[in-house]
Amino acid sequence: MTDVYKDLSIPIIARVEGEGALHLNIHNGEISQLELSIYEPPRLFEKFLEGRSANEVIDAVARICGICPVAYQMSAVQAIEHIFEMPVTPWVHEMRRLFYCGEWMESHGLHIHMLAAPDFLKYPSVIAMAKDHPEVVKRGMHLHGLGLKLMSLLGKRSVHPVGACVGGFYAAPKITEVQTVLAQFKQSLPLAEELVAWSASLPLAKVKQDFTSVSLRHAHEYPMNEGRIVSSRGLDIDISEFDQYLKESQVPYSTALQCHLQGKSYLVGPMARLNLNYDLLPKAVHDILAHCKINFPSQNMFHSVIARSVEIYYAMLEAIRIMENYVHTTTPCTPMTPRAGVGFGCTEAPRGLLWHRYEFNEEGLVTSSRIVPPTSQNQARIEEDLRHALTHYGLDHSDDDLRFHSEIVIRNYDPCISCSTHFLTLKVERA
Amino acid sequence: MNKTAIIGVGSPFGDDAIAYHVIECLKEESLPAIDLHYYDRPGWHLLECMKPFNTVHLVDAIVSGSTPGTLHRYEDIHAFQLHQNLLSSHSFGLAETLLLGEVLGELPAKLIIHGIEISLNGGDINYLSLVAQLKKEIV
Repeated sequence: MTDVYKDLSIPIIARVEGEGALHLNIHNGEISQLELSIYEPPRLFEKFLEGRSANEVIDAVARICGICPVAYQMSAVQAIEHIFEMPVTPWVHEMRRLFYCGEWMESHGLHIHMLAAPDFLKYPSVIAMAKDHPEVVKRGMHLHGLGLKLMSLLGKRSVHPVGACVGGFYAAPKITEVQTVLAQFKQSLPLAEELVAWSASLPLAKVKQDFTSVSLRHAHEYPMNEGRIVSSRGLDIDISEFDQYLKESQVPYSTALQCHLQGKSYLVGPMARLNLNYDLLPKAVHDILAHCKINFPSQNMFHSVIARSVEIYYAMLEAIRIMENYVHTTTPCTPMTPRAGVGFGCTEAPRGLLWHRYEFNEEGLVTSSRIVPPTSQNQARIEEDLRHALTHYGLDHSDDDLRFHSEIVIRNYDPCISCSTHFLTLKVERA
Repeated sequence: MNKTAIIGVGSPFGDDAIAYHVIECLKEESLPAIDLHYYDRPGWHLLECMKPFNTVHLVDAIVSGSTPGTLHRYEDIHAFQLHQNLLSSHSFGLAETLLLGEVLGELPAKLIIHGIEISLNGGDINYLSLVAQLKKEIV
């Protein structure tokens, strides 16, 4: 029998944050090689942070990502406050949660409407989709905009916010400012309910896969800023133990490190969070999902878009709860006393677990830092999903069809290549 | 009632900061009944920001090969080149946002785009002269 090889290459993956490529080698109708290549240069942030003081770190890490700066700031403050042995006041705890609600709404709103929905409704872009579905796009823009308002309320600006600091925030929002945003949230809540129902009605493929979900888990709140790291296969560890179980490694074709849990790929992000924390969501969310006949935990990766919509709805409910109870304070920040030591921070970025480790010296300066973003952690899972999804789709499809299908699979993870260093060019080899 | 705004967009750093500096300079001027706003790379959120106004003058940096500091005026949103592929929300720039706004019927009744030529190699721009010229164009 003559061997049949096919080589397919996607040189730039469209509608993902950053630049990457996919190289696919097909031999006798089976995938013999599949490499997701992130070719953006390393961004070297961990090195830039050396020699910096605590609050310089908070401002610097906000520049890692234009979409999820809050996540970087929140993981960093947690780690630094761990080293400086600083308590977190209840006011700061609630405001950090409110800050995070804004970022989830902003990031998920952008991904659902601008990047993912055109795939599911078969349009080349959100502009083309807007011609036939203007109300869907307007709703998405509005919810995204509300998220930006929350980020600005506490961060003083939505792009690379500057309001957060070690110990809390530089200033507390005025009650009138909070009340203005609260009124907008209450008025717009039905839009988030519509969004969940709309995402559940999308023509999503029904493909189940066997994967491990990993996320934070907190005793009594849906995880954002705090918790233990848990998995759907029984892992339950303190965030300081991350490095012992979740191992980073370099692959020769990608500038971003990959990450494995005890040698296997795993999923982080909204679906992993929902799979592991569904019971911590309020009744309103359970009711709407029951009404839509959607069940979590789910092993259908395409339910990610529903998970993002659910988290937008939840973030709005949570933001309303926090703003309704808002009290102004003249001490929005606990003073810090720098000290030497090693600390860990781990929070739930919109795309999943974001782990930081810092070491500070006696002068209160960083001597070493490590940042493990969610997209690095999802890389191996994306490759595994692509093998499964493309085989299921049929490898005899044309290169263009394979390229389009690969991009849909990858986009579904909302990879942020800019964070992980940054993503798709498809190269398929068939012979 | 006709509400007018001058809205600057772009990064507040580097050469792209021209719109930020222009709006700051305009705040020192007397511009009755005109709102002044600046947004750092707002993406499609710009459409929400323009909603309250009937007339919007958008100020942004532009690179077309003219002398740095040259003021270009556009009233046709199709005058700009779109990104070939919407590779990420990062490439969803002003041209794409305005096109989306047109499709959604969300653009202000009157929209004028003032593009200020910048040099990617740096170079001095006379802000006072630029602001005076822009003020003359708008008021």
